[in-house]
Amino acid sequence: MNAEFRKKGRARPTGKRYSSVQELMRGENIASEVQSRVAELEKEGAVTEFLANLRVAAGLTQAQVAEKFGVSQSAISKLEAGRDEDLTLGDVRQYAEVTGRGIVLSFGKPLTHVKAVKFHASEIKQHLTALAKLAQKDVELESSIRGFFGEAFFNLLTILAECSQQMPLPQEVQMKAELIDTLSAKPKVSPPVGVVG
Amino acid sequence: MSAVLRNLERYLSQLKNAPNSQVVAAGFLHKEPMGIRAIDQKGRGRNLQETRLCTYADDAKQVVYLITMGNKDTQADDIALSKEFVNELRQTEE
Repeated sequence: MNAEFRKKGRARPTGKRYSSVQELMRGENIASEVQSRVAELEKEGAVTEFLANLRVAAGLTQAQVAEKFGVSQSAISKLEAGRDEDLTLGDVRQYAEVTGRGIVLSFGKPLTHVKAVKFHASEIKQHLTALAKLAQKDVELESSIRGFFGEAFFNLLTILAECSQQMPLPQEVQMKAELIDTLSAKPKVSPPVGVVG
Repeated sequence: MSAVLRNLERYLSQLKNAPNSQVVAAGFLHKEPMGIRAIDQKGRGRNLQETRLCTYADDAKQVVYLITMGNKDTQADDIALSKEFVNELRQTEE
């Protein structure tokens, strides 16, 4: 980069754009050993990076966190730029407290999308069941919990509908349905749903 | 170089979570004039060659320009070139 600028005598953008460091390394033909090493370093510091991001998102400086932890700012700087191995669970707990966020750590192979959806669905069911039990015990809470159930029902359906819309359209099925509609002369009247008698 | 690139990743990651680039601070990040930030290799072992990547974050465009990369010997030139780059960039935008 520098040599190019010096030759031209001016500093100008190259016009190349990358959306991530990985893309940059591939685009600039960075040696594969360097790319592998960056990936290794990423694995070594995934949690410390997460903690730094959590602090920034909470609008806290390293000095503010250091004050709350009772350590120096440089200790926080070192921790956030360091390896996960050097962290303690106490550090993670303190970051959760100081940022007011919940932190869930998981190790091993990440869940597939399907398993993740099933896992979260099970979690949602568990929490909604707990809320329903709470509503049975507490009359004052019942109405607000009932309201929340309605809100949750609507939000979950909205999520499903929005995601379904992103699915490719089933072309063949659509064409067949159109043919059947064209051929059938009788107007279809659907019986009302949910009416007895 | 790998340590600098990894720190660049961390910097970009923090930028995504920060309200603006000026509040992002890290041990590997050095404030230079005109909003330029130099990323070094710190945090990844000792005896690594001192390397600095000069960057400039345009908050409005959400773009980080990678301007120069060098060592202690080229540091003064790198910052001068980076300032020239940012100056020209700002003039183009005006």
